[in-house]
Amino acid sequence: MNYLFKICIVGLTFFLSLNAPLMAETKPLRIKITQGVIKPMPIALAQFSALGDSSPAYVDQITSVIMADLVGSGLFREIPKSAHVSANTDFNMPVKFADWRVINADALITGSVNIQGDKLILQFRLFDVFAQKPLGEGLQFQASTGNWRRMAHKISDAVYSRLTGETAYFDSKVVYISEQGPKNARKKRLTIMDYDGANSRFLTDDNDIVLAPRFSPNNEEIVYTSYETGVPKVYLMNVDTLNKRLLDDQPGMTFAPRFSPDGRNIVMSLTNRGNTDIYSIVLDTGRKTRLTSGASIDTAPSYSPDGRQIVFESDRGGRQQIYIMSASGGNPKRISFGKGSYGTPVWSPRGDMIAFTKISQGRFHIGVMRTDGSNERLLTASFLDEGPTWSPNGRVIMFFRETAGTNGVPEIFSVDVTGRNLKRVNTVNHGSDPAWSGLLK
Amino acid sequence: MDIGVKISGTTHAILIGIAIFGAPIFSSDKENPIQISEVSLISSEDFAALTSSNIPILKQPEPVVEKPEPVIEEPEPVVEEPEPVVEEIISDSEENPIAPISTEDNIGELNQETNESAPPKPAKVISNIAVEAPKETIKPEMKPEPSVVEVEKKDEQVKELEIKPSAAAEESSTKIVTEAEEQKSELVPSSTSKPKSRPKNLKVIKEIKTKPKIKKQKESDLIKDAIAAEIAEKEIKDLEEPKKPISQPLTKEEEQNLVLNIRQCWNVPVGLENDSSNVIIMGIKLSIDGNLEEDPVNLSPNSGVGMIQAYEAARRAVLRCQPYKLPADKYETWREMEIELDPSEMVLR
Repeated sequence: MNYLFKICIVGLTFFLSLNAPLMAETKPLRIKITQGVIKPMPIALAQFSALGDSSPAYVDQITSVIMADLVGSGLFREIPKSAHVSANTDFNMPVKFADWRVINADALITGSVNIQGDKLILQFRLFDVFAQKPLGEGLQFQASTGNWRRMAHKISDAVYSRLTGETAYFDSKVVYISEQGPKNARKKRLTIMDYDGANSRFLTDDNDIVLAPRFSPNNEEIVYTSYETGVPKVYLMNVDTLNKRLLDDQPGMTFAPRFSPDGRNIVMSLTNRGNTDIYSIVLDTGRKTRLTSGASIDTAPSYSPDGRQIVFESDRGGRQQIYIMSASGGNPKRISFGKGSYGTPVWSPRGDMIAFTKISQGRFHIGVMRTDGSNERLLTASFLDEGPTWSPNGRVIMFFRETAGTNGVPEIFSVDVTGRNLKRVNTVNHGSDPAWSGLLK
Repeated sequence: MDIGVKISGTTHAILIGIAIFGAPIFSSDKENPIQISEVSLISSEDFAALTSSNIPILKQPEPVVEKPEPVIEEPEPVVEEPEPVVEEIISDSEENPIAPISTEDNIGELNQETNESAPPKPAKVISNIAVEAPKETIKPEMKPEPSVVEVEKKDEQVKELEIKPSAAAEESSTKIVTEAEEQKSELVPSSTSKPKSRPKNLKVIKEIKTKPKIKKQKESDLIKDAIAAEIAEKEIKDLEEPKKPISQPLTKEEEQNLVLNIRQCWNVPVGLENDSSNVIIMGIKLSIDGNLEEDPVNLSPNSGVGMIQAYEAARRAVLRCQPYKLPADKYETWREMEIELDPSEMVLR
């Protein structure tokens, strides 16, 4: 009995001790929020301190590039310097967060520019104003003064990545076709520039028509189509040396080339005896493999980022539509089913979407869809929009838009993948057929 | 031979020159045009030290080479200077207790006095003596601190209470009897020492009081007693712990206002919209004026790409939105909250 008594006591104590916290526990109030706002984040760029031989004008140039990058992305809004309360006169000076909070800056960038001879040292830090904490480590970039724009882009990249969690795209290049002259006698030249239109450089003269340039994965080479021999042929060019070579000297027209993600193959269209099919060529050996067959026109191939699949356009169903097949060819599967016709598909670097040109009811659109064809979204609409190309992070699409009429000219535009922030890109002359490089190293 | 020696000598000289001065010709600027390194953040103290050590350099720009020693030496006095500053502060606080604090100190003193003189303390002794009894009795009696404060009035009767603890202890040698109770009923003539807010305790205590006398009754009764004791303890705990007043829940309208408020402050990071994998749950503690008492705590179970940025954006939203306008009479309801920010319904078309 005594034993039973003890058991009861222990059991009772245990029971109560278990129940007590459960009964006493009161869950805190939970508020669920499923809607926010999507607006550019207000950021402040404090006056960079000028050290060494650097002049205030030079500092201004650098900070202007940084702010143009960030604001140009459509994701950030600059708080003008006139509104700044606090001036960080020294890079190492502790930040007075209250001064930046009062002007509603979410993030603050501080930095210094130091020129020593022909060397430029750029430092910067990023702060979360409301949390009053640095966002990651500060960074220092050192290079020759001639690279100041790239260094500024690198700071923008770092800020963008830290605030969005995505890789950025500011330190990148674009190759495009610069166009000049009347529509019926237009001079076209292969041109390379920074993503923002700066540092343009012609890669070819205007003697021959050139089309559809594409970067190699390491950004060192460009593959493009030229009418140098009278018929369209695919060429390979080194960006630095400008040395070029004909990729395939067999009869027939070759065009719409694109590198494989590993840079070893080039996939392109080849027209022979009136039939256009897709081929891949191994760069080292020149071995050519036919990937499609049939009487249809198969063109505009683009690899998936993992190199296992190819998306292309074909009129095998009667109209231009988008298909996906294995990288080794065969088993093509149609993924576009909307009204109108689809062309120039390009696989996103993220691998989750495909950008395309759509022609519907007499208008051209740039759009995106998932790789299974679902969730199609049209981002633009105009008389002629064509030739989408992805930014290195898959966030922005560049394309060209041609205005109507005999005096119509092509210009390069960019748009966010959400359809926001449509804007024209500065080019030398007019521009078409843009191709975005990967992020530079 | 002469030509050979000349060629050899020249070649060697070139090679030695390259070895000593490097070979800019061969360096591939293209490979690494931009060198990147991290810049660590320095504290305000370090910055102050830096700037103070820089001052002499600025004063004498030309003889910088000649003056390195003074520059190095100077930081020492700079380091010494802060010490007296610290000392001053300490000495000030010690010698001259700051006025506002003195009021708190007074309160403290009062508490001490009352603690010494009021019933609860002797009660501890009593209960310790009667350790055989369930510990529960101690707790209820130790906590009548509020009643002690009331006793601050310091009646002489209270002093008597102080003097008689031993007697009380003996009398209350039964386990569960609360000291305050006994003192109140037997020693204190009228009222003062006992908190008015304890009628429930009294009931329980009465029940328990009877039990010790029946110590050697049936075991089933003992079990009942034990259960009663447990219940009594729980009731007493309930009485003691909920110092927080029971607060009404927020009305739907109040909750909706709060949601709308935070919604406007929540700038969803790019790429995270329409993504259910980036749900952020934050625990926040608010003061009565609606401001955050401390940094929000990230309670999100998820981790992965973009989660840091998602949390930072959520944190900014919560920080930016304060102070929250919420009904003060329901403070206990919203004092601690969990904010769940789910961007999955942010439709982008």
